[in-house]
Amino acid sequence: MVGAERKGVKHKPPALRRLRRDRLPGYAARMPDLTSRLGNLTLATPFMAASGTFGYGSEYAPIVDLANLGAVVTKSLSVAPREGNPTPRIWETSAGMLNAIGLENCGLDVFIEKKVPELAKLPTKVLVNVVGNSIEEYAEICTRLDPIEAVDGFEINISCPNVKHGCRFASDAADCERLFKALKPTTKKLLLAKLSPNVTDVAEIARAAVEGGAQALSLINTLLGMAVDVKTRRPRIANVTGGLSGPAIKPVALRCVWQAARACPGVPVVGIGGIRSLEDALEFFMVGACAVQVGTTNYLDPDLLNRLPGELDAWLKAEGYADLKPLVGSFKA
Amino acid sequence: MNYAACIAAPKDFLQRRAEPLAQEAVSSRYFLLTLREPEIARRARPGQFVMLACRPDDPASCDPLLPRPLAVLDADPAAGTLALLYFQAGRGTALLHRTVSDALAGRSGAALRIIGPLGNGFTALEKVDAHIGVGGGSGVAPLVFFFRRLKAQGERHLILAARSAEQLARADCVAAPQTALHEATDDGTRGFRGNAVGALAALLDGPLAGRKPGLYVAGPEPMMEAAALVARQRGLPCRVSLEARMACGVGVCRSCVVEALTPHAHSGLYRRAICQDGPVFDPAELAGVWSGVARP
Ligand SMILES: Cc1cc2nc3c(=O)[nH]c(=O)nc-3n(C[C@H](O)[C@H](O)[C@H](O)COP(=O)(O)O)c2cc1C
Repeated sequence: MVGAERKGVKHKPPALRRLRRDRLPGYAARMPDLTSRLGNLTLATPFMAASGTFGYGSEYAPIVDLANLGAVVTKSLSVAPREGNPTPRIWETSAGMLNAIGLENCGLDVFIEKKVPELAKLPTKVLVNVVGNSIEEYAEICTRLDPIEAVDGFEINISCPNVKHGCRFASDAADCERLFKALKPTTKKLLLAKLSPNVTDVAEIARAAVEGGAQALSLINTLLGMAVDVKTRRPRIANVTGGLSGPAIKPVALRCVWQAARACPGVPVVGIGGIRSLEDALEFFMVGACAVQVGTTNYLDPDLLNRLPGELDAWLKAEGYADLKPLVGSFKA
Repeated sequence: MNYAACIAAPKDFLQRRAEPLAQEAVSSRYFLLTLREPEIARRARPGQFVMLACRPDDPASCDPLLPRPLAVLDADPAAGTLALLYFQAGRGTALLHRTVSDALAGRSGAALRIIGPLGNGFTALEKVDAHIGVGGGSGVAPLVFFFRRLKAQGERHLILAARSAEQLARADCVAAPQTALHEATDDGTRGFRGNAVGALAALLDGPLAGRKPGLYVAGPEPMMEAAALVARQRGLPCRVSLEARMACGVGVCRSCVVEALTPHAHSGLYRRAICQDGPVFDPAELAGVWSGVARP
């Protein structure tokens, strides 16, 4: 079929040729288009590295070709430097892991001085994950990073389970809306709201973030959990509770993405949680995500980010799709 | 395209699939694992480690999920092989043993995902007239590799400790040229009766009395803390190879941190990642039990 079609259009002028192909729904004659739009940003591929699992991008540069990524999301950044929680900070669980790193990061000043010049060299988009204890702290980071060219947008982490007051914006719709209303005027760059699964109604928070001014949503952050050493009767991680991530959380993440996407039609949603293969990513696309982030899997299989664009390309070709549009939200309940 | 070249931070590590060639029990707790991985073998230095998957690479098998950090025992660039001496410590290493056995028997896929070589290894201490390794548990491998590659002048002693004789690794697996091996067991079933630090004190007060040796320490944390204390009290230079639960091995997950006495040049933080900034440290530069000094 493809061969016959090629022959058929051979003598047509190039403009007409393009036009005809465009008119055929789902017909991919050449490379499928892997780009994905997130607010005012166009990502080269719909695959990103999740915050806290990929450092500042350059750490994995020896083994991951960053051009395969739509974006790198940096480790959560706070205004003041944070030393993080005491150790042990992680515990491996069935098909997942618990972490309570405590948002260890260098703080805004050092970030601008030392990390931004490195981020500027990355051959991919950079989203800075922002965390704060108050609206003012979030706003200060967005304000100061807005003029910096290397920063393409902000992922606002309202959902870290490991800090005091950290969950207010994640679980209270009014607080969440207030936060994004306050952030909107600080930047023209993408504002992506990263939501927590540790809420009664994720759809309500999703709507509040969008209402406040978030142009896109990403979810989920980790699920609050814990583990006990029965010999000592003590917690496995020093912080007692921690965030669960990895394949174990994928079903919860899919449910949350589906609910958020239905609650906010037309708003780009980024799926996160337990992605370990293309098939996992396809599940997220089908329930409404237009891009996905790979987190915990980077630790065991950093090569997945190298493989995903090629695998998606092959999958789209096999389906006869020219781009992601017919895939996103194609799930039928 | 290689972006690593234009970025300051990254080290020269690879991700590969390594084919297990042999696995042998060399004590009741140690297994000697030989892998074919020429590129990592060429780059590996003493004290460096690899992150090795415990299960064949299959998205459906995700328990245990994380790879395990294992120190390199030896690397043969000519043969393209990498030797690991792993100490069976928990579920991951038990599964690794079974996975490799199955692979060698042709019962499962052969290659294991491996990332490495990672971390900064041991370098010879200067202004010393002898080199003493103090090791136990999973600390044996990096020390043996260090003494096998050591070029510096000076007498060489390697103290290896275990609970009892049957746990000590077979002597040929831990032998290094011109290096005197001192074994120690808690129950006295072989060598010195007592722990590694007792054997160290005996060596320092006996054959090496009046000398200025450098100490290289790797093993269980209480042992390393005690050895660092000995070094401090006697004014001897010392290096410890720290271990911690790790997820990534490359400095991004921030799970394996230890506190230092000075801020880090790149982050301004007092935390060091054992995987990225270590695993080998001068205990005098660390806070708390390592140096006896609290962080400012
Ligand atoms: C060790 C670790 C550290 C993390 N740090 C952050 C962080 O600083 N900020 C953030 O928004 N999410 C953080 N996350 C959450 C991830 O970005 C992601 O939302 C979550 O792990 C679920 O995806 P996964 O199952 O693919 O890992 C962290 C996750 C892990 C495992």
